[in-house]
Amino acid sequence: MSRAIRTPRINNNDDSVRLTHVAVEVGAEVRTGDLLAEVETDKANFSVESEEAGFVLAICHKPGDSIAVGSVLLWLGDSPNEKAPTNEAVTDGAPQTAGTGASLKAQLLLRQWNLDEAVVPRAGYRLTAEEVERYVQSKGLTLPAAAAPQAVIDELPVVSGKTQDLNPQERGMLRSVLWHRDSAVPGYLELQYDARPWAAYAAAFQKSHKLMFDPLLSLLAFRLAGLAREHALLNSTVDGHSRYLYDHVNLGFTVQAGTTLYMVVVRNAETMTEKEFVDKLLALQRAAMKKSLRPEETTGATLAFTSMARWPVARHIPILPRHVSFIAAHVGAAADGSSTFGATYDHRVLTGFDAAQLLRELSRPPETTGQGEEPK
Amino acid sequence: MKNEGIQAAILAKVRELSKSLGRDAHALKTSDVIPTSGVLDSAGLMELMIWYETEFALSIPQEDFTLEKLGSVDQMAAYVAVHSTPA
Repeated sequence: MSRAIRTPRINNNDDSVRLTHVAVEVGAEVRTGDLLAEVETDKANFSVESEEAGFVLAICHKPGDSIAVGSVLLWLGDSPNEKAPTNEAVTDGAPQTAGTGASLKAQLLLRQWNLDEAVVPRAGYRLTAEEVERYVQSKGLTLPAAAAPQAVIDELPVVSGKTQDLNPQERGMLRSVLWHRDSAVPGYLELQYDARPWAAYAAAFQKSHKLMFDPLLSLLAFRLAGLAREHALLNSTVDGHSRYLYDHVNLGFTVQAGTTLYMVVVRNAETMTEKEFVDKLLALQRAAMKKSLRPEETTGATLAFTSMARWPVARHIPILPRHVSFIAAHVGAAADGSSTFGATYDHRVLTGFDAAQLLRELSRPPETTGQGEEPK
Repeated sequence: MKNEGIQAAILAKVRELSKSLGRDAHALKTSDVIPTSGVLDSAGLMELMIWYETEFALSIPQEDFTLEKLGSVDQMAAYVAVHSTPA
């Protein structure tokens, strides 16, 4: 009686294997454990051994062939004179009907395209990713609209507790965090620099304008906005498979007001002088502290700056606000004037080299770069 | 509220905010320039000003946030005397 020796699955993601070597000939007698053939995928090699004694009746493929997992590799019989089954019978015994299984890749595609496994024609034992892709192409399907990002909630521990609604600021934070997690490809790097030139620049600016508040952080943020004018990528994001270059520089700046963290947004920063920018940011900070910010003052950031100078932290790795590709992270200077500038950046838009160059430029005040408004 | 009372209230708030930052403002004199004294950081100074506006019913225009007008406890108390809206 003839028995099929089927092509084995080597790993879950590969629905076909390549036949690299046939170790037997038609008519040869084999014993249990004898090598029949060798197959491979891009990731692994596998030896097909006989699980029973018999005679080789037919070899269905030749070395170099790509063979569907589950299809017949060769036939064994009880005697060398038996006839191997015809092609029609070759698949006999192998599940061919819809709904009997799909590879992992195919399952993911089915889920992505919201397809029922049963509607996709298959040729072999299992539905393959290629078959799903062919079906999608033949039907001219388009992806369903992306659902709003949802937090992946781990199963709660079996401990009593109560559920609380998030306030609008917390919901905003959640949206940002999910965008950072699900859409951006964040990288982080930092650069050590001498903070004294910036401190001197800010002190001179404060004195010349008789300002009450230290303008250092505002001036750093303004410098970042200036860099966005010079480096378009800094002020861009990714939209599908395209780059989206913003027309205006809307500088987001984090403000801690009590227990609430806001990101206030200075819109059209590219049109402002240093003083105008410092004044506008001060007005927004005051509004944040008074909890009187308008919606347009906390949305639409295209670039961002955050500082943890108030707290003596050594490192601050911020999340990327939504649709922002670069957020500079400032920390306070040490007693010797040294400090560190960090940046979280979207690697879809900027390389580590880009981010490092931008930080290097940001670490120098306008006096030394020849740009910006000189303090009076 | 008399000028001395306003000064005392402002000074007490400065000390409270300074303490919350792990600093000590007990040596601060009412004529000292607060932003350059080191008793408050920039955010603390902002908190002081928001409290000051609320406490004394002031609406301070942006251009008045200068060291000359609001830099010290004395100046802040004097500003209240001129600009405070009677309740």
